Amino acid sequence: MSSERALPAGLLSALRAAIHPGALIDDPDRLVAYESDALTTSRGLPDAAVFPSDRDELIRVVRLLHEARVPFVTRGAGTGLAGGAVADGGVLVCTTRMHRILEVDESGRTALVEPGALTDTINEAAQKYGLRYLPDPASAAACTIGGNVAMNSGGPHCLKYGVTSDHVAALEVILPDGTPVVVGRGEDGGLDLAGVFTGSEGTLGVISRIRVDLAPVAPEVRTFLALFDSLADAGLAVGKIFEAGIVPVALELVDHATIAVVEASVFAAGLPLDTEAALVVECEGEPGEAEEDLEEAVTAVMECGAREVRRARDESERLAIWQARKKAYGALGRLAPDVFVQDAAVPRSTLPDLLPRFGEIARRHDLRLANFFHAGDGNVHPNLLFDRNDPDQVFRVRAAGAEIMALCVEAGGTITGEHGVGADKVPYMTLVFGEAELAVMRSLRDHTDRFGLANPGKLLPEPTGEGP
Amino acid sequence: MRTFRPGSELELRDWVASAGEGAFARDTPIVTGTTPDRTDTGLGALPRLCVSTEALSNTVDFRPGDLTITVGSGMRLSALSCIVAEAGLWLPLAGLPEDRSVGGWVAAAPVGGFDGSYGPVRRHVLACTLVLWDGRITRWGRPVMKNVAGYDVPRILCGSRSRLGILTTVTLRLWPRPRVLRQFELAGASLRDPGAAFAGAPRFESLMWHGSPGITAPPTASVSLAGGSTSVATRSDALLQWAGDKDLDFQEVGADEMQATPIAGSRRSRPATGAAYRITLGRRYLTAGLRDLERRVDGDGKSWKLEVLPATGVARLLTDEGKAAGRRPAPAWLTAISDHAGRTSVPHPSLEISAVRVERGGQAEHEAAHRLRNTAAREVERRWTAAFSGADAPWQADYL
Repeated sequence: MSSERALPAGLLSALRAAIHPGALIDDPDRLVAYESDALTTSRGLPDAAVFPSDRDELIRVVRLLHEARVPFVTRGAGTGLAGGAVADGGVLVCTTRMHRILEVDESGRTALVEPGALTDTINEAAQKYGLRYLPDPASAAACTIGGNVAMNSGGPHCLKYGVTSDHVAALEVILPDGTPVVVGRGEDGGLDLAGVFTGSEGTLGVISRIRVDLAPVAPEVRTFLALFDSLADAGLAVGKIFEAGIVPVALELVDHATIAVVEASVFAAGLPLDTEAALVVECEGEPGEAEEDLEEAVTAVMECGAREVRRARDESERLAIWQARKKAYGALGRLAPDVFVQDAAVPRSTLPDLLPRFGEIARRHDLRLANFFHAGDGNVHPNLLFDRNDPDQVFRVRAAGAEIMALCVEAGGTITGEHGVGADKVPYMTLVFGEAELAVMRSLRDHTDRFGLANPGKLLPEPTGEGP
Repeated sequence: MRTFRPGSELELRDWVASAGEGAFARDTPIVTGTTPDRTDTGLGALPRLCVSTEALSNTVDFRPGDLTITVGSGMRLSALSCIVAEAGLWLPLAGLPEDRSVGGWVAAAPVGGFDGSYGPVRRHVLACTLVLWDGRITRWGRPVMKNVAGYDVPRILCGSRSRLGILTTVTLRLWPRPRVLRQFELAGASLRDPGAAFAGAPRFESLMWHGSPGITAPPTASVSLAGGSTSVATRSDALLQWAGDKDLDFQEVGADEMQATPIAGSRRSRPATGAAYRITLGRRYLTAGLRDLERRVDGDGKSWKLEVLPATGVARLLTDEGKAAGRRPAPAWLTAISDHAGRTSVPHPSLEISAVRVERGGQAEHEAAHRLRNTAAREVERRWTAAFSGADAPWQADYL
């Protein structure tokens, strides 16, 4: 079935002519596959989806959409957790066919990649040269680098090395009018334009090429798991590790509810079920360096009441420890059909106070809660379990989520640490920005996208019409 | 030059708002910051108006347990370093040539020896308050380690000079003070090529190469190692061995323990002369680019100094000769590469950003460097600058 429901006459045929045969979908039955990203509570159906194969096709597509004044949403693998890659009408521009690693520059330690390249494939290409791409979102095996850049993704190992934005050397962006522009970090005396395009969630254009920084593979990696009888003690241990002068590459916390569900799954790591909290700590460096840091960190957690420390003696034990953390999201499927993955960042010292209050909010709304998150940088993920086919549960999840957001902001935190605003968090933007800041950001967007075509309705709330 | 010294953020706001009604014209070169006596601005002309942030130098909020501090933009880096050192923390600032204000440091985003291991200035800035040129007070970012809500405005302010507004507070990410920091000076002819000389050396936390094009004196390198005592001792031994194999002079210059004020010299800024350029070559083109640069500047009659950060592929070319700003010709090397760029396709299809940033220089240098920039990016920048303060924002503003 073909449809030009809301699209101007002739646009579909013009788009078809601009790209490879078979690279356009307008059958509503097939478009259903693109009605949401990994946040299943946010849905919409595009009028068409296009899959350009290279930069030139992408430019032609964006120019046609601009000429027709048709809104568009850029989408990578659809693994986002903020509803940012959902189109309610208009055209979905999918970059998954633009997945080439164009160059790995060994001596310059960079890679030039297309936006549809999977994050893990960049690492695979880099590893041939003893290099790696440092940010490691949990979905690295499935997500695209273009999506990472658009949302400024994080991951467990961003604690020491920084988030995506810290590893983007340059970008080529197709502006919403179809103009390609190469931007850097202000090396030429200008502004750090790449720093703003990164994390702009597709509202300022479509990323067509990315030069990412690479780093040498660490010669030595040491990992341990610390088990605690108290969530508060685990929270204190996080601070104690920093006080010891150590910045681990990763410092993750998993709570009792998560341990229970992981241990009941195929990813079981043999953790005692009476454990209230577990910390995963990873250090790396030159031979001897990681081991020295690890021993200091072990001393710190023992001083904070850790009842047991399990050191990974080899790579397989290290992977087993990480399984308990990285597969937790999948394991939650045993408890409920859907997980509302919350994402906020708070000053780390507020964690011991906030974690029990997350639990209170969930109990008050009769919801189950599982915490596993990046404790080292205060990036919390209080995950609420629910069934999206039950409207009452959906309502309660949204209400609990809003309370958790308000609590995090009140503690000095922010509404998203790594997943982005998308459609989901737009209502919360006024918690962290005043009208003056929102006006500047809207103006920046409008100066870049005169007709409001690029990912409309995302990231920024529209003015209420009331005075400041 | 007129100077305005606001005692508070609100006083600054009121002044800027009224100035927007005619007290300063759009083409008035303005400097903000704490060193109005300096002339080495990034402006193309001598400043005619100065907004001093000297009084905005308080500690607003210091949370050692969260590794964050919020300070007035007029606080000096040396004062900041002392405050955080007492809590066992630090900002990796070692090797900065001067003790400027925190706001000036953010707005100029100078390169530093620790950029390769701790990241550049933008990595350390979490939040800030910016008074826009139309008088609105805006607050960006939060005191947290990760934050992706909205456009990353703190990031675009790093290196923006004062073009988007005047910084009044800055929230910085701090780091646990390394348990041990050792610093060494190396010298010898085998360091001649900074792009290749350090192959096989142990890992450094900081490395800065110094040389002078056309001068036969051997180049030098300042090296810092930071971390646990065993690790630093092992790497120091390896460095000594490596330096011996390379026939290098080797001298330890730092103490075992971290210095409380890790800014070289910690001297107050002084009026500077001459010119300074930051040249981004990238690691791949470092050797070839520096060779080309040395050939171009050799014999032009000036005494040049070169500083290179091999970890990031960035070089700084400096001369003390001549006035810092005002009318004078751009150096021949800059005019030559600028003319070359004008005849070739820009931007480069492979996304290589090889660029010149004029840190200190006059109108002609700025114009020559401007020709190196790609026109599409310049247009985006023009629109975004207007988005902050409208079309009436001053053309020329710098932050010292």
